[in-house]
Amino acid sequence: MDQETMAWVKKQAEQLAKRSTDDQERALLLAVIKTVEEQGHRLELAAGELDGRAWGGKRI
Amino acid sequence: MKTLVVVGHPDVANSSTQGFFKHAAKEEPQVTWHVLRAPFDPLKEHQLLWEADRIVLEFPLYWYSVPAVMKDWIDQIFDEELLGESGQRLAGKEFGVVVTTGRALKEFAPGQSQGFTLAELLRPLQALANETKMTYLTPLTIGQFTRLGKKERLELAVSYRQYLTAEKPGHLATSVAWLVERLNKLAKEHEDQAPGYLGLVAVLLDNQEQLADLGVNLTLLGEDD
Repeated sequence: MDQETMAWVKKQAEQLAKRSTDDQERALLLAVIKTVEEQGHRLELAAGELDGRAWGGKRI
Repeated sequence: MKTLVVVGHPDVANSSTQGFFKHAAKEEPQVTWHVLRAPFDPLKEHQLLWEADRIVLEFPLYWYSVPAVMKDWIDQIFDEELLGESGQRLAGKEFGVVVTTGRALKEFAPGQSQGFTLAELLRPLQALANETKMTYLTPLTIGQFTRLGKKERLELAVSYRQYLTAEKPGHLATSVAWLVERLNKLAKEHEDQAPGYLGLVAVLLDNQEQLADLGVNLTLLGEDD
């Protein structure tokens, strides 16, 4: 996931949260940002591991 | 999935913590929030337990245990009538715990002020789940709720709702599915902002698909020699 997509997610979620008067909705949107960040982190780790294994690297 | 939250608290009406949880639980239509008050009606209590797929005991930790009202409830309600002659009548249900502490969570560790982990202190409840053939879920633990800031409370609200209703609380894939369901619902409720909500759904799903693909590729590459 590229940085542009992450920036878009943050901007979108923050805009939607600003327009909402419901704290549970705002909580959901905050959770979306956190979840997408976690997905991005795992994608990076998995891609790195895949690269390593594809080139014959040993699993640490 | 139907979830029963059994709340054991000596003064729920004046508890800001329980008020917070009740407000969050209201967002989930499949959740029954049940406050314990003696005397108990065994028939009613049994029925509530039988109907639930997930049973969550929710309480403040009182002297390293459940409050008295909850202990009385367990003692009186978990009987042969509830469990059936074979003891299997609750088998297969999920059993969760939401526990709040007055101390910071980090103090519940060997070498820290409390000396024991919460997992150790909650063993009696885990044993109860084990004996009644229910699947014990990792407890949701909250330390010093009144000291949580606004952002932390917003995060807790979602963690709590997911603990009550997500298929596998704490797992990324089920968390994504849970959020997607609710974002789709918000898109329908706020049609003018639907593109924004649906855009977030698309990113969540796309990322999860990529993670699944990477997982498959990693499996195909196999373990190292």
